[in-house]
Amino acid sequence: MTTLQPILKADDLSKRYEDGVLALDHLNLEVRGGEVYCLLGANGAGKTTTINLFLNFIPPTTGTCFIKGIDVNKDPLEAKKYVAFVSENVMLYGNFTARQNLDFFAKLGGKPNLTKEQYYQVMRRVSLQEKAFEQRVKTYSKGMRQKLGISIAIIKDAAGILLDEPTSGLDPKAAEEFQETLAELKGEGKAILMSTHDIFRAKEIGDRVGIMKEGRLVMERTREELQYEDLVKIYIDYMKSEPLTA
Amino acid sequence: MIGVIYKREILDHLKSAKFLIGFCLTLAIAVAATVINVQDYGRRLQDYRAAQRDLPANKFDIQIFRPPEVLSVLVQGKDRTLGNKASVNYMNIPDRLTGYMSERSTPRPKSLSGFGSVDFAFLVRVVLSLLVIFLAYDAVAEEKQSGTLKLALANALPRSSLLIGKAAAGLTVVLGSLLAAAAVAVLIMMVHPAVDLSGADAARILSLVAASALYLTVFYMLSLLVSAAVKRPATALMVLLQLWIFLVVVYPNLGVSIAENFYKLPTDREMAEKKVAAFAPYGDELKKVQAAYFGGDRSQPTGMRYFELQSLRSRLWNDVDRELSLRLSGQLERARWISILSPAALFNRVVERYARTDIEEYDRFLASVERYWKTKYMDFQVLFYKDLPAYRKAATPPFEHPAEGTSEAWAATAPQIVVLALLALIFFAAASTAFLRKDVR
Repeated sequence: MTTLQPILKADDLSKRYEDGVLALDHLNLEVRGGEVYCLLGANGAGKTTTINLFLNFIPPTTGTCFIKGIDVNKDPLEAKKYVAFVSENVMLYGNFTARQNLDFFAKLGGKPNLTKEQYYQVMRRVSLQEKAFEQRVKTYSKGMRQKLGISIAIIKDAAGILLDEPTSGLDPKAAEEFQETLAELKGEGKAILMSTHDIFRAKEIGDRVGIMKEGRLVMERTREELQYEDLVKIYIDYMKSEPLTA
Repeated sequence: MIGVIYKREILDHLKSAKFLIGFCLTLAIAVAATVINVQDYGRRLQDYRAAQRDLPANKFDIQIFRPPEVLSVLVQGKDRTLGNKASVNYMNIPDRLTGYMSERSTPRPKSLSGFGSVDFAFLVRVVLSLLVIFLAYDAVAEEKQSGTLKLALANALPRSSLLIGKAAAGLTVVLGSLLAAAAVAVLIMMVHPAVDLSGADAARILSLVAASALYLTVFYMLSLLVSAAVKRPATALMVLLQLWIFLVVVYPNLGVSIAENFYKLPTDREMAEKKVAAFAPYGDELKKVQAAYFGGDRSQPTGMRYFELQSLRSRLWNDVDRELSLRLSGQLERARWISILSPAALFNRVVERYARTDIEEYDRFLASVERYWKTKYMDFQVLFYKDLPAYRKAATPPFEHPAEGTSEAWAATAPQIVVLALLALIFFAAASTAFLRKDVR
């Protein structure tokens, strides 16, 4: 069930870097609670820039990001209380165990009093092997680290979740498990914005799919619309089309 | 939030191999250096006592020995290298101490550059400052590279809290290592029978530990700055190691070298000529009086005049020597000014002062010898010509060298402490600015 008010909202968002590159060009998008929005696009299309703007890692050139109605640029610390983030390559603290990492990020996320069992439950939920809970993360595979990364996002229990190419490099089984977890989070009413190269997964999990090219959102389709269209063909057609700036 | 960061950082340091290796190395060097130095101190003290006991009963030629400083166990400074013996007679006011128990001497004591042997000061200046670099070079750069910085800052975590938490934890670990090394060193000193630490010594030890903490803080903040300013931890480490070599090894010695080359001192020949010229107006008279005195005229006026002229020559020569000493001090002061931004040079100056093993203590001792010569010793020698029986009955006046008070040492080192504190603050402010503006993408 989606909420009426958007949890994540980009309003006329643009970003031009110091070197003159226009990474994002007047982006408008909204992600409501219980909705998964997938951003597709080639490298440099502006997907990661969008996520970085939501996390206030960079200031926008124009426009505004809102998280639960809070202007990210004006009050970043308040806004970030309501968003969790999973990066492409979750590294975490290698000398710490999974539980210790989880404990640290839970405290940063405003959950200071969780028990060991609560951490274990979250790790079980993402199908992390029980024996790995108290292992140092430096012994983890990429798939295990990604699962732990999503555990961190889950434990924060934020209304919005930003995922930056989270399935990149995962084996099919891990990617499938990841998708199941995402579906659960969606069911819990989270607003999920996921940048990805994975067209098939985007079609499966996305309630809406946007294609970005040269910083612009050039296409947006709902799940319903995509039932009658070939997303792969649309994507490739856009990628092959003439440069927008030409 | 700062507490969360602080706790994680402490735990991370304690779990890291580099800290464990560095800490064990620090303790091992602290133990080895202190054991060696305390035994050496014991031997030097024994030599000093033996030398005093075996002094010949000569009222004209008096040997004055400088005792080894107890805190030279921790900071050897110039204690071993600048000699400890002064020969006083009415024809000579010593301008320098001869070598350690007559073993060594240097004609230009204040030109000595570089650092001494392995001791607590070396441990702090070299080993612990390197440990600081190895602990802090990746404080920000590694987290940026691995992506944990991005993950942490995706929360409602102010960047300033992150940096303060990191700095506080890093300093806790570094200063903990310092305190452990200091405690071990002091414990070894206390159980050695030759060492008798007074309350003033304890205050000086605390002062030099505090100065060490400040010195290490400077390096921690510098490391934090470089870590925040560069993108990769490997780059940060390379930059820091090069800075360390410059600040600890090259720069202080460069200061001495520049000062020596641009502030020339008179040659030995020029000094000898100055001395001859200073006494020239009295040269003929001394020859006549000397000839009369040794020709058999032992009357009191002749004897007194002979004594006066000899002592006058000593004073005039001493004036020439003092001029050289002042110029040497000037050269040293220039070297210090040139090295004023070297934390190592500042640290060295401060801890040598606290341990009373610096060049100033050497000067103070020589000043005491000169004062002794000009007052007690000469008053005593006058008796020889005025009242020989009284002279024969009288004991040689004792030499006294009052120890410098701790508060005087604090006052003397205040400028260096202020500069070190300023460097730490400037580096932290710069690190904060670099981190707050850092692109964490």
